[in-house]
Amino acid sequence: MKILVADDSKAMRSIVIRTLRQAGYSGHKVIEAENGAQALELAKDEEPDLIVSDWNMPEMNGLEFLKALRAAGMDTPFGFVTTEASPEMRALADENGAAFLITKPFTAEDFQKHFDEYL
Amino acid sequence: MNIGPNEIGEIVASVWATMLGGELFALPGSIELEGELISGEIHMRGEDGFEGLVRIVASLPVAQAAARVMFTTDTPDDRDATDTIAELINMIGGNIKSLIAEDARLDLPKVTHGQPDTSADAAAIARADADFIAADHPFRVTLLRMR
Repeated sequence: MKILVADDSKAMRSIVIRTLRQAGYSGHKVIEAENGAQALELAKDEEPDLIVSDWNMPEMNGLEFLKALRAAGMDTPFGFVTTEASPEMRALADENGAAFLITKPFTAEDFQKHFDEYL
Repeated sequence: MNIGPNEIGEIVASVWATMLGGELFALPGSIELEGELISGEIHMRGEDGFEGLVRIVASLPVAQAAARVMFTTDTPDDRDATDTIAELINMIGGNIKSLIAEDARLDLPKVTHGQPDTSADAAAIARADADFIAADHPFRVTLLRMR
């Protein structure tokens, strides 16, 4: 399976990928994007099975990415891994079709809890 | 909710343990930050007028040690250290924000090599500092509330 990880921080992408391995999802192909706009293009080209995205990113943020993805007719499972998780943001994520929202810092167990359904 | 050094310490310890896993020691008093430094800060702004910032000032070896873990490399470069500090202050700031101004928004983090620009600090109406040692070197996390 293919997982798209979108985060403007190379450090965080590295941690997400490391945590994926720690959670037992080693055999999957991971593709990376630095912002929502790049992630949207990659999602269209690569058709990942799961998208894991930061919320705060330059150029196109995670919510805008999710909205654009759904507007393009793509129903790829999409989850946020983000620092912010106010009730308003959780509601926005839910309203726009996000499957989950994981707050940083996170553990391998957090990933398993949300990813097992998709991977 | 007001945040003091103890609450900052708990948040930093949680982020450190979860993301980096290395030893971290909270220091009861303030320490001298000397040598080559790297600084990161992130602003929080609320629609109700709330404004604050969270800052980290670290000895460069702290950033390099953290970057070694984050990037799984023995030889992190300057960009790795910069990215690591940005992500640490993003996580620490986000967790602090959730306690004091949940509805506020975080700006993107900014990182500079050297001492931070502290010219705005005098305008702060509240301040809390927490000092730590990691990888045998010091760093400080500061919360400032401007409005």
